[in-house]
Amino acid sequence: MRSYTIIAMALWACIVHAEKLVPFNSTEIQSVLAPEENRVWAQAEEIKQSIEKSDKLVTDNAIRVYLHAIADKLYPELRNKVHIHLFRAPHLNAFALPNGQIYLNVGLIARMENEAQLAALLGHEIAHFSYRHGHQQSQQVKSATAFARFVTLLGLPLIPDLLAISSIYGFSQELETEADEIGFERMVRAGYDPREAVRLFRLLQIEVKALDITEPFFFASHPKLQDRIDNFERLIREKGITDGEHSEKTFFEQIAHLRLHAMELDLAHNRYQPIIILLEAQSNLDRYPPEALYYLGEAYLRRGQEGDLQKAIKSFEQTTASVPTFALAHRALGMLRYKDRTHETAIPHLERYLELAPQAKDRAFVEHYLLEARKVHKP
Amino acid sequence: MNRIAAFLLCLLLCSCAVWTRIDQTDAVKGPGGNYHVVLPLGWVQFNPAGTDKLMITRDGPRMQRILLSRSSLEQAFPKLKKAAAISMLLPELAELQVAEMRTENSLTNIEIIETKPATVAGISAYRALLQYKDPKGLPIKILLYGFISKDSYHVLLFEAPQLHYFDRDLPVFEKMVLSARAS
Repeated sequence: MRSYTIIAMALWACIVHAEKLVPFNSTEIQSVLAPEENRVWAQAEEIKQSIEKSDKLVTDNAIRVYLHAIADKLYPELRNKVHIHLFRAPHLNAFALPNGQIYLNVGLIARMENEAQLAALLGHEIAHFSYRHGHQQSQQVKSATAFARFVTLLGLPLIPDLLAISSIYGFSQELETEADEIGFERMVRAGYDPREAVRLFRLLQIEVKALDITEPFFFASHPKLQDRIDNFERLIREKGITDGEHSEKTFFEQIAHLRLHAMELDLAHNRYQPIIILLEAQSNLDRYPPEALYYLGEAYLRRGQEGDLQKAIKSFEQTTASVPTFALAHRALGMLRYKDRTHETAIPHLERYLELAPQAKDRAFVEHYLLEARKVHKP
Repeated sequence: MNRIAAFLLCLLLCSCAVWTRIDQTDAVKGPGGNYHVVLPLGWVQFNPAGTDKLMITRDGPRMQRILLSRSSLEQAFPKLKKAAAISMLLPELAELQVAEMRTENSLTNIEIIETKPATVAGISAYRALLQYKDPKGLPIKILLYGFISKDSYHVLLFEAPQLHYFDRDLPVFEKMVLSARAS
């Protein structure tokens, strides 16, 4: 954490007033690049290629099409110039590279409630690209990158460049406010309700506070989220906005599987608390697919406090009742029953698991326990 | 300035690993002493002072490495702040081990290919085959065995680039695991 603080301080120390650049608004973006900006684009291209090599991007064409449709609605002049990618990581993070590559973590998109909230985030990040903030920052923080030379983050390479030219830690307050204003204007123009931006940033702020998140990312920073809330509330007040489109249903259909994937990622990193905080609220649970209860059960098991085992069993049983074909819930129940030696109950669940997931990575283990259970319980 | 440079040089030299060639075919004590194992002949070993770890390689740790480690049950998964327990099923131990590894920046994208039951030194163990890509996109494979013996959690790990090294040196690792005997 100390190294992140030093980097953040170094970045801030180096930031001075930026020269104003004309925003990208035509199809001939590369022809208007300044010579120095070409270098920044080359760095961004290297980062993009490294990210692609890392195998961390979601390759789901349907969700890509959906994300790009929202981006096109917000910035029609930048069609085919903005490329949105989903990053397979549970953290609350999103960032833009100067060459129009926008990265959103699955964990962040999974927290959203509707399309308007997603539009708020995309509106803000694309504004960083459109208004060439990466180039502006790179000219001011060259010396700061020296501090960041040995820092790695989420296994991403080229981090000094990433820090210098992307929005991963946020830009100067001036540039961030500009991105808020542009994003707000684009949301309103596209018909979205900008009040949902405030709601999104508040939701993230609540989670950051409840989980005591110390990750240095822009959208996991309590004060930076507060700045977004203040800016959007001011803009809403000034423009007198009282309504707009939320598009909750479409959003839900498009990202239901991502919500489950985000929880899978949380569990893979043993981050059980976000799942418990999210899903213990009935209002949130209603917005999740029924399989979400399985992940809540796993989160209880990992937390392991008094009473969590019973809560986990109840969650798994509710999952098998509502989605009988969901293999993982059968595995969880089978293993728990095997462990507490109620073999007659374990057997049908383990059998069902293997039937539903014949290619399971732990098939040999489950077959082994099934064999052991059958030795003890002979029908 | 010169004194600082000399100090840094001393520090560097002190921190240099002392690798010794494995030239005996007798079984040696594994870290913690709960089992004996025959190390691969001709490879080199390094035992960091003050740790229950033994690292072995043939061409250098970036080419291939075998790591034998031992920890107390309480300290089994320090980054997750979780303990191992005899009551845990082996797949639970394997899941915690992988989650612990994922806390390393370079291993956040590690994926499980397969887990299955195994036996090491006559003790029930898990065998987990994993893979990840390093920051340059090079696929790396890891095979690890984990088990609880007495009051200790033991891991025997083999890691190498998928290309050429993993398949070439895997039999050496598997032979070493097979040689393990309870002390």
